[in-house]
Amino acid sequence: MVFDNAQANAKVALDFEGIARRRAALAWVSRIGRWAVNILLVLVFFFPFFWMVSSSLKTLGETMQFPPTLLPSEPQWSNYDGAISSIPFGKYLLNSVIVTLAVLALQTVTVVPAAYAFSQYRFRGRGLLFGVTLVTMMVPAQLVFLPLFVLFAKMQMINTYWSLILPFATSAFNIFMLRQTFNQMPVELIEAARLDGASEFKIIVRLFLPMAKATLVTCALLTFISTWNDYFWPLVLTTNDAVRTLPVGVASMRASESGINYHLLMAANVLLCLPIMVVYLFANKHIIKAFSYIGDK
Amino acid sequence: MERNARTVTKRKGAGFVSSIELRHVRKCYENKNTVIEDMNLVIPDGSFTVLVGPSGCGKSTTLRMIAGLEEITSGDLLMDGVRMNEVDPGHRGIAMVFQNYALYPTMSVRKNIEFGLVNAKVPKDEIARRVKDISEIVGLSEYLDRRPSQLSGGQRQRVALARAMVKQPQVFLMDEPLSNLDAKLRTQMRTELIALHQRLGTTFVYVTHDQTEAMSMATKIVLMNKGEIQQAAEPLTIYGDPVNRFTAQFIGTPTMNVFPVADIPGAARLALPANAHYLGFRPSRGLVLREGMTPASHDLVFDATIAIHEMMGSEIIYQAKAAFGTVQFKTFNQAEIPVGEKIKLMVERASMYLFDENENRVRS
Amino acid sequence: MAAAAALQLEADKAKRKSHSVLHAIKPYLCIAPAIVILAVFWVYPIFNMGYLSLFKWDLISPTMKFVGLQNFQKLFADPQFWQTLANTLIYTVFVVGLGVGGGLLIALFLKKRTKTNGFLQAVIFSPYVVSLASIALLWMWIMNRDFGLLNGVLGFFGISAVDWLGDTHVTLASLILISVWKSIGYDALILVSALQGIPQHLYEAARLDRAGAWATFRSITFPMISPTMFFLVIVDVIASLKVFETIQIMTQGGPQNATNTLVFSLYQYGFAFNKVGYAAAIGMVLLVLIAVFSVVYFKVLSKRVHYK
Repeated sequence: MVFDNAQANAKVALDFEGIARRRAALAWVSRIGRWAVNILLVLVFFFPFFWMVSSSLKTLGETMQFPPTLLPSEPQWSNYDGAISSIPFGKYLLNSVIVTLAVLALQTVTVVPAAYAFSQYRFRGRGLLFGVTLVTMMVPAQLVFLPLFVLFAKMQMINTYWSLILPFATSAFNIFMLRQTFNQMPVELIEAARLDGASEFKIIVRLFLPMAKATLVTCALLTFISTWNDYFWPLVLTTNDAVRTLPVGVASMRASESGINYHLLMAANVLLCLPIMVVYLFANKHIIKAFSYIGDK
Repeated sequence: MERNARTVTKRKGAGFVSSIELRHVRKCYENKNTVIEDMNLVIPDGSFTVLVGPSGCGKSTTLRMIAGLEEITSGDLLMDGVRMNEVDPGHRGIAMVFQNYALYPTMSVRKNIEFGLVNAKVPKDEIARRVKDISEIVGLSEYLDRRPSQLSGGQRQRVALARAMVKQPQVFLMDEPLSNLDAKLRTQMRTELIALHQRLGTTFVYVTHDQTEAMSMATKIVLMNKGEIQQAAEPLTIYGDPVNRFTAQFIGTPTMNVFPVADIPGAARLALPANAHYLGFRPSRGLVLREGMTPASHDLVFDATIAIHEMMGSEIIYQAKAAFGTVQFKTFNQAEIPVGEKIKLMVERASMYLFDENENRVRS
Repeated sequence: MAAAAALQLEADKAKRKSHSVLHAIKPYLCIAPAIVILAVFWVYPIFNMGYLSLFKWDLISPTMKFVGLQNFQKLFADPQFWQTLANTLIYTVFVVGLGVGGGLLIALFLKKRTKTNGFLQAVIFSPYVVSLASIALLWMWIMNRDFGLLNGVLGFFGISAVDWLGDTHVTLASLILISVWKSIGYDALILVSALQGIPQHLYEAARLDRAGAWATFRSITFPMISPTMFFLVIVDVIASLKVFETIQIMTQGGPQNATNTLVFSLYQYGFAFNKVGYAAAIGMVLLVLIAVFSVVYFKVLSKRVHYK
């Protein structure tokens, strides 16, 4: 079929003038829709935290009102004192700090050399040993806690800091990530440094570590968050409060015979969340990027 | 269905009009950046129009406005005299070949080519017939069931071409389609595209930064710089009669020699027009003064010392130091002039290009 | 003179040899601490658990009684185990399905790089960063039957209160809801990255090919993010199979076993009921499940590297 293009064009143009007019008219609908969803998302994902803070400032009586009120009539800051005194809060906090810092320190010492060796050295068994490392990435704490409890019990290390620290003194995932980064160092740079007479130690300190700065920060952030937040391991590996960490300690507040004082529990909960939330507030872009790497690898 | 008027069989010489016109087109971005102020351009039907210019000159933006991928802030885009600003890209009767081919990586070559026709609800047997024809023309019949990742760069380019051709558009738009190919493949594809244009007779609008490509392929060159059209004319006109210094120095390899008249010793004798601030000449027009050559009074003659020579095979390109700067010239005979030799160069009056203080051409 | 030179040569050779010995063991020294820790705490226990599952032991007495596969026989004959397994699988299917599905919808909504979207991403991701214990305690309060926020909101719409954590028909769903709330931000984040990795030119070519929104999604967007989605599903499944904290904090496996899961059951039998061998048998079942999905994960990982 032969067609005069100008005529066909004219018809199409006319159709689309109409379509464009309709689209412009409905643009405000989609804009309102988008903002509605935006607000809904903020409500769903942020409101519970707001509720936590609000509840932490109510009196016991106010928490037992139904339907619940949005805000306390007067903020009961004393709840926080109450929360801190109802459990050995200071001890739990200290234990969390000790365990987290120890894990970070030990991981630095074990992860960096291992990642460097896997990346830069050729040695017999490298493939096999790295393969083993990869496989252990998939082993969850939930599978090993029972035998390890038995092991630690035999060595009389239950309720010591070591039982909480040692299994996490290294991280297969961090070794994997750091090795990946080290692999990206251009060989020419290393060779040039060697030609300049640099010792291996100097090369590591001056070339490798600065290049891996972003990865190191990422690994440290992820390890900090997961160690601080860990509830499972300190719960199953301790039988008393000696080395219990904050998450376990705060959760234990729910086991009171007289019924749970939710205003105090929420106050304790706020204190539990606070360190992470503060870190998140300042470093959320970095943290989010860190987590997205896990998906990318 | 009237919609299928877009997918009509085109016969050569059937007298279709598919010219494109941009009238007072202005393009601003949201951050108040005005890229194109006031563009007026006519792309004649059946032409091979090349938009050429340095990076950032607005040639790709112009092409994308024609395609409908960029909004036209103000002004009109007319196809066959009809205002098409509001029409969706898929309904403008155009097809586009992207620089990176933009092939759908998860679809086979066949599905890539068919995609547009399937969406336009063209009947299945028609689709099959067209795909078969196109793949024979472009030479892809063996690869129809492969994925783009399994093809070489040249093959991917053919798929992109086939995808465009199978829609039988009024206009082909091409955004630097050859720049990702190696040099040899590029020259080969250049010839093939020219042949394609001759066979189909469809309007081609082609964007490139390579002036050699523009000169060899175009029936009309549109040279742009900083969002403005410098000159829109046939290749020979742009080469021989540039309208300003930018055009003169953009087209032609090596670049035209241009110097301020004030720097040239003996310029007063040449009786140049009063507003001639710059003098230029093409390297091929710088002649070595030899025995038996008699320069006229208004030809330019000057001393120069050979600094560098590049042997190109059929010609030799020299760089020589003269009093007013470094001059490039070409010779076509094989006798090499050694480095350091002092020579006299002559430029005939007829070979001179004069520019005023605003670098616009002064014709005498 | 020659003797002195020969001595020097010997000394140099010895120095070089000791250097080369040092050089040879250097890599092993570097990896030794890490490898030892991984071997002792993450490899050995797996085998040890297999060993323990063949015995009967109450954790206190100094001797264990070998019973062979009896623990497994008892386990597979126990209807409570099958309920537990079913709970775990149902939980996993729903958490992963809702998480990845919902995450995809949110990702499509947030994929444009704008300040607002960046802010929203941070908001949606915040539950993921916070301790699981905190989340469990908070939702225990929100889902409180008598005074909780959820029932308050329902009451506002005239709907009668729901016993979120006490009603056997609802409890597992409540836990699923909480888990989805916590981790959907992570799923959305991964999918947003994947969506943003799709070159813009493909969408332009699709517009020129007259592809509408659905055709574009079906033929271009979805196939291109499928590998990432598959990956994400595997990762989420492995994470869901080991669910424990919310159950231990909120429901203790009840009511009437409605929220008992593999890991919680493992914990109970090991620490509360002192049946270590039986617990280890449950652990072996979990090991098999996780191993299967891990193998799939590694296979897909190697295929992806190959593709690029």
